[in-house]
Amino acid sequence: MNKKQIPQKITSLRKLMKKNGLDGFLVTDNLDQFYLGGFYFYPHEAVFLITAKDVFCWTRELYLTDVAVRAPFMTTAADEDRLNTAIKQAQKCGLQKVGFDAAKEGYAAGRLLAQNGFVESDSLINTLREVKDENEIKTMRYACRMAYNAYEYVKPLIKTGMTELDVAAELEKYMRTHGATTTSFYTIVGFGENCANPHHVTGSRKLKAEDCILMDFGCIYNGYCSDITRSWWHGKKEPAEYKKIWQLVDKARKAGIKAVKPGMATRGVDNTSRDIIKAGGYGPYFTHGTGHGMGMENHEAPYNNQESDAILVEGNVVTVEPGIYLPGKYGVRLEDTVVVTKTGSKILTKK
Amino acid sequence: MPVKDYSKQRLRDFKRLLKQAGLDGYFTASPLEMRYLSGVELSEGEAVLLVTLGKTFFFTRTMIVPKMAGVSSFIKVQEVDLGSLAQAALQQAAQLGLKNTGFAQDKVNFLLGRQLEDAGYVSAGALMDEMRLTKYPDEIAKLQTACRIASEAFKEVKPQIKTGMTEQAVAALLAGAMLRRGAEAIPFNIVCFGENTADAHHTASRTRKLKKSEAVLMDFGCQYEGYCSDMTRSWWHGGNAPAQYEKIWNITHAAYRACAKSLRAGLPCREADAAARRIIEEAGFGKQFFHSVGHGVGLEVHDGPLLGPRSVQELEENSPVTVEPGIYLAGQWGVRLEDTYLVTAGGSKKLTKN
Repeated sequence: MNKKQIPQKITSLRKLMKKNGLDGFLVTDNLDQFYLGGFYFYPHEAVFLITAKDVFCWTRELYLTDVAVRAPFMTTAADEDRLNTAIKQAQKCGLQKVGFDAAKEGYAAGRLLAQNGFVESDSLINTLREVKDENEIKTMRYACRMAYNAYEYVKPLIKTGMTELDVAAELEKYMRTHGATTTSFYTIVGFGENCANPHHVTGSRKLKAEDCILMDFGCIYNGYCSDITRSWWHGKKEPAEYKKIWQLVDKARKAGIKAVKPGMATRGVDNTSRDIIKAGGYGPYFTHGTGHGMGMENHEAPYNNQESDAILVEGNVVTVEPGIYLPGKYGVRLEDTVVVTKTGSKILTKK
Repeated sequence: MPVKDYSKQRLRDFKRLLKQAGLDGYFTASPLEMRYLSGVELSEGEAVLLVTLGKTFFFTRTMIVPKMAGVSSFIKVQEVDLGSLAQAALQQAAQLGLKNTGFAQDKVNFLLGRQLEDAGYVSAGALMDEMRLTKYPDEIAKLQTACRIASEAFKEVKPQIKTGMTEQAVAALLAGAMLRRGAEAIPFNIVCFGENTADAHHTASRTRKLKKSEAVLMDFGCQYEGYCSDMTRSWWHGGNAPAQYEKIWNITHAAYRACAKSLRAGLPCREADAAARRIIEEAGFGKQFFHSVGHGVGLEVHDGPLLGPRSVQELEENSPVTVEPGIYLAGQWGVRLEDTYLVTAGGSKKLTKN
């Protein structure tokens, strides 16, 4: 393989630029840079300028050797005044219409760019990032499998008297041992009444002999996230009401996953799960959207909620995670990460 | 031990700063700024905060309201069902007749910044960044806990590091030890063996195994209630260290000590850098020390001030900073030694201990 071969993602970006009438595109967000170059810079430590011919990268000196090896298709140079250098380079190349991502660029930097003739653009790279390619799906499947396996591994280790933090430590240790670089968000482990708080912060609450458990967690593997939630009753005397809401949430999850397919409105996925919980009489206790897109970030478009106008396409990766929360008592949330396939969907968070 | 919460005090002090700067309000949507002023942990897009010289408002969604239970006594929480949170805040500000409301240009994106500027909002410069340089007692207590967790976890894990383990396995051990002690997140966890110790940006490898006799470098920390700790240890594993390794370890250590000893309120940051750099340069390794000697820590792992050769700030009392000189010999090995210190009036206090 030619070492300087241009990655498909750059080619796709160029097509999208053309469609938007742009002859250049500036990339300053470090996740977008990871997406295009496969190399992780710290935030604010690199600037990319993509043109029809070139991919310029200005960064700190300490990255040069690594970038040369891992992203040889870029023209890379050390520069401490990167934004101004990019502006000059655009002029030198005679570019007429260079776009920048107005939702990601900081205000001060955006103004400098606008003053120098750069134009506001949609988040073109987000558009690309919403649809995962085969390799990305493979990576996410690995990250999701690892999260699922962590659940299977940890569940039998959980004993009365352990703290929420003890359980979180076991989960994270398992995932890191199996290749996760970090978690995709703060690991949530809740016991008892804490399960009723969708934003519970894992703490030193001890598990009682009869208690409910909720674990919502995920990891990052090779830059991509996983996300899974499991809830169950610990002990022998599962209250009838807990069982009832668990089954209702499970029904809503299964129906939600089944609704995920190309052409489906994300709002429709949300409706499918929400209607089941409403019909069961717990509508007001399902206080959040049914799911969110995932990729390099744990929350990204498309969102399975009422505010989103998105239509699912093959290659989207989304979560389905209905829940019912009874304040002061307990709560249930069940979540899987699924990928939209040609004809339907496939669960990624499984063995 | 519960520590008194200073959020109310911080908000009061911030209002005083606003007034001094001639502003009648402040708008922020930055999770970091909102956490600083209220103590509430938020994600991007979950809320907007409007501070006025009188009342302070949170604009948020129903689902997020429970997070704000602890602050509802001094911040008015407004639920916004549909539409933009920023728009709701702008409307509130207009209703109150605010005329000169500030925002931080580097904490908003271009779209929001333009919306604010169109509405007549003005740049508040680095008002909050500067306030954040010196920490309140509750921030110091949280930071101290984060430092204690990292130090104790390392003490537990170091004797468990054995020949044949992968970098990733060691990172996992350390992560588990920090989490069990109450860390809420581990923002970075660098473990390097052998030649990888010379790479300042190395990420732990799943396959690289520890050999019988080689260099180890670990750079790690954790986040506790939002505040970060940061420390680095380097040592030779198994057998006798080569003379050259020992030499650079000793030079780095001398540089580390000189820098730590120099810390005190009022010292120009570049002099703290120079204290370490001088020693490494005189020993002939100036080119192999290619980063700043340290940085502030707080809600961000890399908070202000920067302790570098071109820094223009001075150290301030109650400002936590790292001291982390290093020498990296590409292809061979590297040494970095780092602790987090709290700058005091007459000197400093070490927060990360062995």
